[in-house]
Amino acid sequence: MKPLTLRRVLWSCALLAAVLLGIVLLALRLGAVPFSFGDLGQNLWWLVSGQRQKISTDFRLIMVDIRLPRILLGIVVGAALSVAGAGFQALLRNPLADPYVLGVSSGAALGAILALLAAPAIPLMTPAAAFLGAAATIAGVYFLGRRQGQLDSGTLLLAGIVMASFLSAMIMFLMTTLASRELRGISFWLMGDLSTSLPRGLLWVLIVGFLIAAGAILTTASDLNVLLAGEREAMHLGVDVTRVKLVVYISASVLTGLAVSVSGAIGYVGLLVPHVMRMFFGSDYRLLIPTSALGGAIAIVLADTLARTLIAPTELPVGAMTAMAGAPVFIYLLRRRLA
Amino acid sequence: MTWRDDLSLCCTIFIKDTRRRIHLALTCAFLVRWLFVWGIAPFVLIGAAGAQAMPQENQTASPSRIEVKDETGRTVTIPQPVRRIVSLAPSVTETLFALGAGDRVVGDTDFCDYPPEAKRKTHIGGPVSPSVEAIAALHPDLVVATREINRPDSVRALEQLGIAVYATDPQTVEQVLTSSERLGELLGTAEAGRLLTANLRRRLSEIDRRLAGLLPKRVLMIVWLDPLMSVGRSAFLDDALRRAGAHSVIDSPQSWPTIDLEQVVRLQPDYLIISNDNARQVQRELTELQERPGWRQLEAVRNRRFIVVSEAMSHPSPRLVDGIEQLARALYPSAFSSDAVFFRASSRNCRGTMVARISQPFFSLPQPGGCL
Repeated sequence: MKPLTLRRVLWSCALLAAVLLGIVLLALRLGAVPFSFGDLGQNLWWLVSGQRQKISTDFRLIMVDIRLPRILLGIVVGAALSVAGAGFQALLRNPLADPYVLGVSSGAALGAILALLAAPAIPLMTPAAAFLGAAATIAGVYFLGRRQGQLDSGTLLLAGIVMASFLSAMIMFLMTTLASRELRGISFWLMGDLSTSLPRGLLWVLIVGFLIAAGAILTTASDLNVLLAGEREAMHLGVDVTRVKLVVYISASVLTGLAVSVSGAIGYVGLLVPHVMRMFFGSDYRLLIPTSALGGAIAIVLADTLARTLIAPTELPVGAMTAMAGAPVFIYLLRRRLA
Repeated sequence: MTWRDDLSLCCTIFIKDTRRRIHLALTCAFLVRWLFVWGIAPFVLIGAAGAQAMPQENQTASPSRIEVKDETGRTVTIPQPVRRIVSLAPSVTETLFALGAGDRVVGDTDFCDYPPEAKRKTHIGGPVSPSVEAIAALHPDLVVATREINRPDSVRALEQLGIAVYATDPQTVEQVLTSSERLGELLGTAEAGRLLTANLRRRLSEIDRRLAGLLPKRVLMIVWLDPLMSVGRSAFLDDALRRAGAHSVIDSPQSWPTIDLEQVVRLQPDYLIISNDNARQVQRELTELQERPGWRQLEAVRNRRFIVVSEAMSHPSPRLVDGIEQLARALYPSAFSSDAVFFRASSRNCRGTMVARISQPFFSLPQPGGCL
């Protein structure tokens, strides 16, 4: 394995950022309302160069007010889910770990449903409750997953899976027994959905929250590399295992809570993107975390573009797209590894 | 280690470890900043710039506006006159056309198929997942939604773009009429609305007159087959059944409750009612259903007491009255047999209606894309 240099980190990230930029341009171009690349380029140039009065009303309405915020949301959500997935995988030393598998997404969904039942009229109540639900689930899984005061990877993963199915059952129970009409459409949200438009302030909170939590995981990257060899070994090499685990656990949970509270339960991204990035760029966490963030953003923006355009003007939930594309890719990766 | 220790650890972790991590963080900081500056910031700035530019435009768009409360209690500011309307549900489209505002409808959903002109309008997606940008591109003065099938999320997203969204929420036949009347007022077709509802009210009281003194028949309305769904007492359909002299055997607080077949067998409804226009689909469902155990236990199935009414019955639009008339005629043929004129008038709008005691049982899955 080549030693990791700053140059290599930069070049890898630059490559992925270029791909992301291409995908973003494509996502801007495609949609229920067609625009040509020429129009797109010209209007974007006017936008950047400050000649805003020249921009057509349609372009402003559809590109600037609808597509751009949605793409931006997709970037942040995808990056957050992937970094969280990479974090959980290192933490549990289990390639199957991912926010979706650990039940965090279901917890957030239950929180959102309870909020809709209790106070449907209050704005922002749903994302807030989803975040609380995610946090509560994480706390629950964390305490269930401990054995003799230690975090045990296998127990934690099992606790997550059990929690996920329990919470899903609760959701099903609520949805079939309660008479609330507010629940209509929740199943769409349960599949993961980026079509909800957020107040701009919330988007900023999301971005800042992502940078802080992802940054915290990044600071533990070299410790995570050592941790991959085993906890005992890491401890002997002078890594404060408990602290590293806590930092990663909390940060990854915050990332998941943020993502799920605005976009519902999008599966497969947190699981798959880190694996793909490992294949391309190796498993050094100092490189894996930034590349996962960019890769996750690429994956979600791409999936959401497909979800918007495949049967336009009707939209698919983005979670359905990620699962449809993600499951075969995952099987392929699995077979390749076995072969 | 107790959970308290964990908690204090997690609180102090960022403080205690700071020094050791600072140099690492610094190495990474420029990476993150770089990502932010080149990858994200331009888009945020563009978005913010666009957001500031938007409101100025809307103010010049229309000369006058009125502020109304819609049926879900939201306050909506609607530009006057309303020239361009987007409908988010089949029932809304039907209502708009019935009010004579059909030519002002610039967009509707993939499922809007009545009247036939509705199919030729620009489609903006399904009622549950419409494309917001497709709606915005049509520059509507007003979007009409219905709480029954549209998502609050869609309404919020449109609101944020400064598009007026009026939501209807009729839960009884009477509310379907008043809702149509109110919509007529908003669209400047108040006179047409009053004429429409006056006519519908006359037809409804005619049905009431003919059914006066007759005992209601106990029915099971089959809204969906797999799983078996019927109507609860809060749905407009329950009230429509009552108006047609039918009493739903299902008594549930939910709008569209899922029902156990066992319960149906116990309640033994006199008639099974299906609302669907697609005869072929109904036929296919039937062959499959005849194989099923349990349904044979129903008196209504053994005696082939099935009624298929037009889809008008399952849409809370003015056409609902057609459905009520059909059902009433099917349930009480003798009460209507004397009046041929009435029969012609009421069946004019029905397509492929099959009425009462048909030789084979018919079942169907009405409401494409209805409740998710």
